[in-house]
Amino acid sequence: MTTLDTASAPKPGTTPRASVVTAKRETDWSNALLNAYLVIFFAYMFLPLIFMVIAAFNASPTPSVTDWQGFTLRWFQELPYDERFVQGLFNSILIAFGVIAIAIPLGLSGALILTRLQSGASTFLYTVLVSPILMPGIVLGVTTMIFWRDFFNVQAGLFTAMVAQACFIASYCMLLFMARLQRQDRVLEEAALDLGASPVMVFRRITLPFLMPTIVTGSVIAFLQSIENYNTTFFAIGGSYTLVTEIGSRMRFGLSPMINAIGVIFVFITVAGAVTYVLMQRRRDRKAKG
Amino acid sequence: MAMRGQDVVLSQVSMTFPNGFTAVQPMDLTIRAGEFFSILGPSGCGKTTILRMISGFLDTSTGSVRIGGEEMTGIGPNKRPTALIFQNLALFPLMTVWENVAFGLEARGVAKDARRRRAEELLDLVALKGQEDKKPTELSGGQRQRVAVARALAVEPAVLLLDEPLSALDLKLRQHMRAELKAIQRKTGVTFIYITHDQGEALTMSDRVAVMNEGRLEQVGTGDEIYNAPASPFVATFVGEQNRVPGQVAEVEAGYARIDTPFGPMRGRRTEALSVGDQVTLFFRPERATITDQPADAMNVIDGTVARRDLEGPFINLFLKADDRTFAVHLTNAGDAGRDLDGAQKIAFSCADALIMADGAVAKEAAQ
Amino acid sequence: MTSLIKSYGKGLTGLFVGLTAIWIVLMILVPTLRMVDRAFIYEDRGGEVAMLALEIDRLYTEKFSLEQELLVLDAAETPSTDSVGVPSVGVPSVGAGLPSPSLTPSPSAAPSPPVPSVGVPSVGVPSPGAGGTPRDRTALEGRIATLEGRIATLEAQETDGSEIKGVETSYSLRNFTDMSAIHVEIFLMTLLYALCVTLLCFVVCYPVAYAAASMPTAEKLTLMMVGLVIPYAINELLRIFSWVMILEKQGILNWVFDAVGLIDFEAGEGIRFVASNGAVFTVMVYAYILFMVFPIYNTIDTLDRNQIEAARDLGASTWRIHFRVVIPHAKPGIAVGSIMTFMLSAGSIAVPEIVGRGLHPDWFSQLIYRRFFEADSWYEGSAYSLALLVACVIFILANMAIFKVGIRDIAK
Repeated sequence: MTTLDTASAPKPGTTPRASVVTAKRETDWSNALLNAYLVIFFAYMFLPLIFMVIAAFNASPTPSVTDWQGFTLRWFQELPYDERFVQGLFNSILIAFGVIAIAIPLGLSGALILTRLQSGASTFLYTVLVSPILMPGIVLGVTTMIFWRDFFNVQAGLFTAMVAQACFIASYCMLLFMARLQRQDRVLEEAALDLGASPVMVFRRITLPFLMPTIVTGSVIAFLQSIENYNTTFFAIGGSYTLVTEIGSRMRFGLSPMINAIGVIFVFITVAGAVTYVLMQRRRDRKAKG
Repeated sequence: MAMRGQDVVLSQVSMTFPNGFTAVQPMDLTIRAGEFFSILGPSGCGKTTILRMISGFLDTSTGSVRIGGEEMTGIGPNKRPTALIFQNLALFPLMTVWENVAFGLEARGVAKDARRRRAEELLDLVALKGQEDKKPTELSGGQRQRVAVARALAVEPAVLLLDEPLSALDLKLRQHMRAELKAIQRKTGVTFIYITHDQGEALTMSDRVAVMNEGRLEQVGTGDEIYNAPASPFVATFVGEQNRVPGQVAEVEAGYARIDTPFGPMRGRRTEALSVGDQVTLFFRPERATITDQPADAMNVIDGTVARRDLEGPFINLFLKADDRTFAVHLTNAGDAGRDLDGAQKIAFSCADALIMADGAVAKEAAQ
Repeated sequence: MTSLIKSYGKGLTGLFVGLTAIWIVLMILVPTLRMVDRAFIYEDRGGEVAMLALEIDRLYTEKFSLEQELLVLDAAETPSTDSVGVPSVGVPSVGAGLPSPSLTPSPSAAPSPPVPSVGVPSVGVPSPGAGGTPRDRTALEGRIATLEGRIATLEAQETDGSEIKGVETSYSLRNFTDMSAIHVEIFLMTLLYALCVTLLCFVVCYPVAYAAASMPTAEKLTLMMVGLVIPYAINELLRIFSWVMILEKQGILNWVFDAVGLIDFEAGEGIRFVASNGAVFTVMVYAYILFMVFPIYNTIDTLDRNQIEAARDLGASTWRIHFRVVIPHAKPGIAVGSIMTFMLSAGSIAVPEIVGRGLHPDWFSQLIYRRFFEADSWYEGSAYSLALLVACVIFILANMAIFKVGIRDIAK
């Protein structure tokens, strides 16, 4: 505590100016350190990805950056002829749409109930409904697989993978909806009710349009989460496969530049998505200003 | 505008919330058909609760609400012949102006063409022709106000409930809208129930006013009655300004009472039974008192010293100190009245302008 | 409930409550409870019936080796019959003689592999005598006949038994108490590694999150966010894959070592990083680090910058500002980040499967996988999953206690 006292009270001898200068010098120094750190951090984040992208264009049959055997697009050209990749992609998309169809209504219902429920049970309900996010993905896969086989004699496959994914993705959607609903002006619903609208009409004409932007973002997020999911799917999918589990099982048996090629496509879509998002955000900001 | 107002009868209505707080004590209140009725009170007095019970958003804890003779218990807000104008107006931001106005008709299954036509008529009524296809956010505050009125009227309610709808507007616009609301009420004949904490709004627009405090009705009457013959210390102090003199009843007369105060004996009207020795307060309004050298009567005179003098256009507001109390006197700014007043002065007021009431709750702050 | 009906009417409320109930009952609670239930059911593989199966196995094996001996004898007597071919595969196939394949003891459960015989005929067992004597022959044939008889009776018993009892199951804690020492060690090591990953991620991420939150201009912040979102949005597997390329024996890291003269690539030198726990650890930090950045960024972002200025103005050092002002404010974010990172790394199956290729000590998630899909023991698998789940719940509760945050702060 003594150090705090000496540090916080400017000594009678030093002018305030001098202490400001010292503080400034320290800020500069720590800023430089922080910037250097950021450079290293982003190198750490991006270098592996850059290697992956470069190797996708290398003719070497094992993905490599160091052993350059010439530029090729072969690995990309081979992709559409790889039956399991194509089928995996189809399965992934099938599951993803199923997940959207399940997760959005469930998440919305949960959010609507939680935002209106005025009782002590709401915290408990909330805990239950967010628990799929906090559970390890493999446990979710395991429970889903066991449940469907034990109670309905449904073997693990695309359906159980979809249900398992939808379970935790619905929690994410619920959190999105809750955030949106907290910003809702409840008086609007009362006003509509007062004007003679039935609860269904209030929901259709007032609540749902208000939630529309979140339904769209929620669907996009659900789609991406579903496509990307590995841990849960790996357990719940049984003998079937998605693009990602197929990639996973190939990686276990050795590296192929075709995976790099898929990686490049993923990177490209991600970067394009991020850039579009930023540009749209900018335009919206400018619109809001102008 | 084929609309007709209906009466609203509250019998023994009360409201106690689940947390045990009683917002409205059991009360009887009859609002006549076609009347402009205001409920005036400080925030938290229960006036909004009453409005929500009439509109159906809250179920009464006891008693019943009848509109046009029909019992409303168990009937939801969407089935009652009422329309509510919310404090923040609650216009639907994602719909255009005309869709807002026509929303109630849409709920009633009216075809789109008819809806549009009706919306245009109503927007015409509130002087918003040509704004049909704008979004509410593109309108000014006063225009939004009128959209809200048009939207409420579109469902042809028998009773229009207004929850401090003018509070967000600036003074000029507020005064303008008062006149407009009053005109619309006259034109349509719908019963208006207007909630406000602004006595100016209540007194200027209303046929009758109810003053509420802490979940109780203090007084129901015309503006004149409320202002000139307040029924309780609360009403006396909440509506308009009052000077207060504490005292003890010395003698009870027919309609009047004589009391002893720190400033000498005083005499004033009384409306309730008092007996000698009761602790009472004498109220007189600043604009009914004068400053004079030769009081007509030895009674009802206070010796004070001018502490402050504020010029407020048509009035000169004087503040005089006597003992540790401050008394306000408003003089009309005419001739050279009050121009060079300072030092020791005498405040005088007539017995007819003084009101004596037994001590009771007074307003913590006067209504604006 | 009445507030719900008031808001949405009876029909819609029913719909919402119904959907939520389906979600809770069919997707969260009952599946989890079923797993818990299974975790406490002990499948008695060492029980009477299973013992029978093992015994039958053993007898088949014995009979098979006797038959081999017999064949060797035959071969010695009639050289024209080549030793190859005849008995090679098929004969001793473990499950074939058993009524139900599910009773087959898993390779891990059976102490010795039941197929010791394949090599026998080709190598040729050195026969006791150069030519078998008739006495040997008869003795062997007699023993084989005895064995066949025993097998027949045992199989008859087993068939009866399996009809009546099947594999015995009973409620007990044995799935947990029977966990072998190696498995317990793997479990604890997994948790320890996950904890280290979490700590390391926090240390690495905190400056980044702080820097992002204190970006001076919107443009710089956008740039930084894009820089963080891109690796975050790229698939987990691909992030792992990119590191495998670096850590491979012919990978980039060894190439760099070669370049600086640490090792000689040409001579086939190279360090096999991939199959080590260290490699799994490194890749995990890389794969899950961004789950730490965003929650911390979100909370630091809400900190009033004036507080930092004020602290600095009062002469506090940079360290003190962070420990006394920024970190206390960021607590909920740190809690969320830690929980996500811990949960992902403790439950990660992708990283150890792909980086380790099964060549390094197991990660607990792999054990779970093997219990389910290789040992085909769903009861044990459930018990292992439950152990992992409980560990994560304890970690979450500990976090909530340490950072003094509620469940509503956590899941945002």
